Amino acid sequence: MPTIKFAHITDCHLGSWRSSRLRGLNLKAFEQAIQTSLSEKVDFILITGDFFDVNVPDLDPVKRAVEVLKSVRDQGVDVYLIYGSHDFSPNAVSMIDILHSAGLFIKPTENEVVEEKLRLKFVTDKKTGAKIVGLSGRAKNLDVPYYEIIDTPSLEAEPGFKIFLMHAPIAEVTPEALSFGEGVPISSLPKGFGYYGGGHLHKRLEYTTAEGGKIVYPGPLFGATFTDLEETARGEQRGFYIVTFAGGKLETRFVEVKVADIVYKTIDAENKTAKQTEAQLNSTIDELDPSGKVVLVKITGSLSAGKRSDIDFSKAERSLVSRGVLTQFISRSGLTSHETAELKVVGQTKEEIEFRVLKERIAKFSIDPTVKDLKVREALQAKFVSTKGEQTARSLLRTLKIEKLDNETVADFNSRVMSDSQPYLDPGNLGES
Amino acid sequence: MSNPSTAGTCGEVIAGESSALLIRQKSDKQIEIGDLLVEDREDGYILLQVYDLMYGSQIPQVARELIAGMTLEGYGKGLELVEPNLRNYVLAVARAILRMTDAPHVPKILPATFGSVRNVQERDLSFLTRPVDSIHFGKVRSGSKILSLDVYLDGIEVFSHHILIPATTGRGKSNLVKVMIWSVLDKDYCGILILDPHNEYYGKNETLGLRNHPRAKDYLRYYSANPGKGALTLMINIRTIRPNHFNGIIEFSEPQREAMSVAYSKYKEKWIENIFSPKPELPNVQLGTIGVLQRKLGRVLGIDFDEDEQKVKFRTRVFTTEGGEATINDIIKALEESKKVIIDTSALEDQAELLIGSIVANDILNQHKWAKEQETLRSKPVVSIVIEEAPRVLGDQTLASGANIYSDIAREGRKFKIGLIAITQLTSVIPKTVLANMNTKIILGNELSTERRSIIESASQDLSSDDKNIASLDKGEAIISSNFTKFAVPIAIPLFDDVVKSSQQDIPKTKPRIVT
Amino acid sequence: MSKVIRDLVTRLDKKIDETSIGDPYLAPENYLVFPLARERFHLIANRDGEQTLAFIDGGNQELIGAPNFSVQLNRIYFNVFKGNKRIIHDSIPHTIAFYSATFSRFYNGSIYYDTTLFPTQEEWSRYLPSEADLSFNSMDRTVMVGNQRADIQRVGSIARRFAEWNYARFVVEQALDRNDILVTDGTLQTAFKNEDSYFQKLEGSSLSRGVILTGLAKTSALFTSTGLSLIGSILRLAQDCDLGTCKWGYYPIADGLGVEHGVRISAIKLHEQSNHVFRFELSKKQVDKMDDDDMAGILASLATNSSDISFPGYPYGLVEADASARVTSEEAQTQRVLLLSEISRREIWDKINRHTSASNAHDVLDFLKAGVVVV
Repeated sequence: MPTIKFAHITDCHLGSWRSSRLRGLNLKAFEQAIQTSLSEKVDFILITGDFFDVNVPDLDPVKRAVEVLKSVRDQGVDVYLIYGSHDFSPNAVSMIDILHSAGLFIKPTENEVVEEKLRLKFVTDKKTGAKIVGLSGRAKNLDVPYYEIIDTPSLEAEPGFKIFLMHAPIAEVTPEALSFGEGVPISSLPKGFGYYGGGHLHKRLEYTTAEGGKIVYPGPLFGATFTDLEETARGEQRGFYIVTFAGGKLETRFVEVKVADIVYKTIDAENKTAKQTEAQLNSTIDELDPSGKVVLVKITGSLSAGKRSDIDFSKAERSLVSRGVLTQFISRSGLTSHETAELKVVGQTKEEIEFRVLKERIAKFSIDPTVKDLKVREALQAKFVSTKGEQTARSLLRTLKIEKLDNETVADFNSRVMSDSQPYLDPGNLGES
Repeated sequence: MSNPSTAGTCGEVIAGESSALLIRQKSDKQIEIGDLLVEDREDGYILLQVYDLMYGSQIPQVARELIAGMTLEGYGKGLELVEPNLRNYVLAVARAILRMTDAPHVPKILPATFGSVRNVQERDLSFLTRPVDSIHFGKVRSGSKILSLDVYLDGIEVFSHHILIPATTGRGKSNLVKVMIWSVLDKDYCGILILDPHNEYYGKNETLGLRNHPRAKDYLRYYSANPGKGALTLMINIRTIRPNHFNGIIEFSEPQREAMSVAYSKYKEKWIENIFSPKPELPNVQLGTIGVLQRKLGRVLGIDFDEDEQKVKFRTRVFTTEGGEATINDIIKALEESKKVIIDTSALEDQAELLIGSIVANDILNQHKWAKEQETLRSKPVVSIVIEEAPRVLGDQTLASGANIYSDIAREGRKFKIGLIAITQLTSVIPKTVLANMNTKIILGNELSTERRSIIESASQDLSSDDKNIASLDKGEAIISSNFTKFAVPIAIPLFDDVVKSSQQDIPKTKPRIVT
Repeated sequence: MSKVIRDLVTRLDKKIDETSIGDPYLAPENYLVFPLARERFHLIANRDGEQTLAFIDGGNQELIGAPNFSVQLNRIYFNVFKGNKRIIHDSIPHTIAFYSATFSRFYNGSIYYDTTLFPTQEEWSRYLPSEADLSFNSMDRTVMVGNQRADIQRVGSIARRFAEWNYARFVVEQALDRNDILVTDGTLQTAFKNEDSYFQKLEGSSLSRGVILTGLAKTSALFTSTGLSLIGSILRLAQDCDLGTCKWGYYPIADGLGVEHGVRISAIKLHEQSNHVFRFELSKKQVDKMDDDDMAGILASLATNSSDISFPGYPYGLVEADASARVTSEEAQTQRVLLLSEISRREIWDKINRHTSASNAHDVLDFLKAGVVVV
């Protein structure tokens, strides 16, 4: 068998970041990864989901992505790409579908249902004969149940070097901080594959299975959230993998992609006045050399006097800009004051904040004791109480956050919102919420 | 005197005292030990339970012996026993267990002399209602007769006030636990952790188990060192283990405990790895102490130090440094989301099994304590931990060396909505103070008299005359003695396989909607 | 010691001499006696008797007593069987009970005992004898013991005896029909003053209704002319006739000549496996109108009811009547307590106690035997 060499990239999240600078850095990381892969003369490239940050992103990052993928194709290198939880929607055509239709990548996720089992079909790489197969991701871990019904014997029976692609966390290898308890059991994976390429987890990790197969999560190339950048600043390396399979032996090599230095500072404002906090912010900023760097500042704590709005954040930002910062982000969502104590919730990402607010609110909900009918009570319990209530609320919130697309009529938009929300309001679909 | 020809009458009260009423059995009826009988009164009824049977006769025993001898030895030709039903009969010994007027309460009066009694019927026990958050145990049993009346108890109260299941081998305890958990598997008011040393709860191959529940996909998690497809591999990263997790599980001397504290302070989550490193640097800790720690921890965690490769090696993949970081967190999260988590510990040694339980229990107790401080405990499900061979952690000898998380939960868990379901063959070795906290006892058959005595002494109702009753419990029969029942309810537990099969008929098969 | 026993047994053997069993000995002026003879054995057929049998018995126990009064609880009971099948009657209660209180009084230089009756249910008073018939001079020959004044307790128990005769009459009149058999426990002999009138009334009712009046006595103190027990001698004769494994009736033994005890005396063995022979009496007036078949029928019916394995050869009806009529010590004790508590409530206990202590020293000795200290 000839040597097989490939790159494994994941979670590019192209189009993420409101800041154009950060968005640009993200794109740059992607371009760098592709460039490096091509210069390493890989036989093919694997991309395991969340290529775009949303299913219909802005056209600018799309254009750049198309250009890169086209150049890869023109150099005779195939790209095998599976969808992730962000970059596609099952109910509508996504941008990634258009790229696929244009032949910019191969989707190794063809399947059929045979006797209630999901039979996946291999795609054989023409150059190397490597057999590639995978499952795309879905939002809210809806893809996890698919793994239970994969017709694993048919996959395991296939000879040759096999690669399995997935955009789902493996429960047993997911780090604690990233686990929400919904991972795929390792036992669900087909055995006997040489390489299991994973996406979705924004952390690099490798794991060798009991049978000697290699599970690899490269982590994002740059990151899509403040937390990602925070981790990078703390020392988490970002990049992708070059994998070589030769003489029956698999070697993995992590290739770092660094497009900017990230500086991360925290300020504890607990029991300080607004004035004191502002002073500390400014002195922290002054001590930095922000030139050409991404600067992240996180302020947390509860002010003893004054409000958040009493602090002049823009002054600090102006100071950074004037000194050549690449881009900056001052996070103050964790900053509260005694005067405005409505938001007691501390969270790092908006998802976490959302999570905790919902939890707090729903903890106070209970079924009206005048409802005596047992079946009705059970149905209400299953949808609105405790953790189930949180899930229903989160699901509805996520669905209702979708924006009207350009050129989409109001009627169509309404219809889309209704049809996307329907599963969470329909009592018959409790299992899918 | 009541008319003995009343339809349904099976006997009359003739003598005795409140704890030992004598009932003469009607000749064409058969009263059994454990039977529930009813004496109807104008304002309600008295519920009696039979706990012994004996012969009664108008003929003195010596005469009866002679009669039997004459028959056996062939001297009885042409002789018969005239009016045998009148002169020889069965006397049932019973006690009043409930007085029903407008509501059930403890009986304080005797039944009428010559008061007629009948077998209990479902309508007599209509006060046994089904709470909203309930556990199903089976059906009410009278002797060996099964009534068509299901027994439900308040799940939140029962779980948080602990359950004890005392039974000897082969009496159906696994079946009972499976039936109980099946009934609450998809209920959101409780999360259950099952430490399963015989791998008998999940089900495998052709054997039915909790995995066959229609909602197992959403509510059941299964961890095993040898999982089948779709099951989670039991892997615990040793960096999630803290020294206090070993309390009461492994006995350490004072210097050893101190050494562990030193290691943890210095190396935090890598404290175990450092103890096994070639040159562990632990100030003021003797090498000998480290050696003993290596041996004790190594045995439980399956760790060896490979001299050739100069690194720590794991004999099994259960405890590891690669992967398994989120396992404990995932288990706790699952429990807090009202899921039922089975950990197959059949491939583990006792201490390893208890350690895993200890880690989860410690963390979940802390979480619930925190929730109580934050006043959010109300929204949390009650979490119950099923532990077999309970004397390993609740026995008096074990507790003599110090408390452990299980005894802590037994003592104060109910304040934090955490309970135990303790299964044991030997109730007598569990201290009375612990037994007193286990407010629901599901008593299965037990042929050991010392064990029966312990069970009876710690029961929530007066079971002092139920010794024979307990000894004669057949497989699948039990008595629920609980603070949350009006009386000690005799039950028949359905066969788990039957419960599973009857549920399969109701669920239409749905195809998954696959989008890829 | 063993020599004494040997001598004793030697004397027993010598004195019970069956060389000649003799003939039944009864006072010739009152009885026509029939010599013992093989021909008087009549085998009882192995067939189910068809006649209905009624058995009646009574019991009594003293509740409190003193030389000058005796309070007793009395019970009379009857049952009816056809073969071994019990028949319940609604027309007349199967059992009645009453208290009797006997008091002494001094009159005309003599002590008299008068008994008053207290039925436990008002409507049972009609079954009871007249109180006028229950007044006895304590030196009346029929009640004296030897040459000693009659015991008031014994006199008190006469009420029960009279009540049995009286109640039996109502049983004959209300529960039995022609050819049914009434069996009383004991002989048909009367002993006390006024007793015979009750027997006569019973006999009269039996005759007019065609109910056969009989009495079966568990014990017999009759003798033969050679001083042997009559029943023992009949048994010896039966053995000589090879009747050991048969059931039979031996009759007649003697016929009463006078009005008093106008009966035919017989002996009966009612089951092959029984060793017991009982004295059996029938009203002579009825016997005179019977033939052999009638007698055979009566014995067959009795025998059918005498096959209970607990007491082969003794009618089950009498076993049951005895048990049901009996006033047990426990029951007497309960009744005693009721009585004493009423006495105490009336604050007359001291007075009563003064008199009862005159005769309860024996009870004290019993207590002492039981290890109880009497204060």
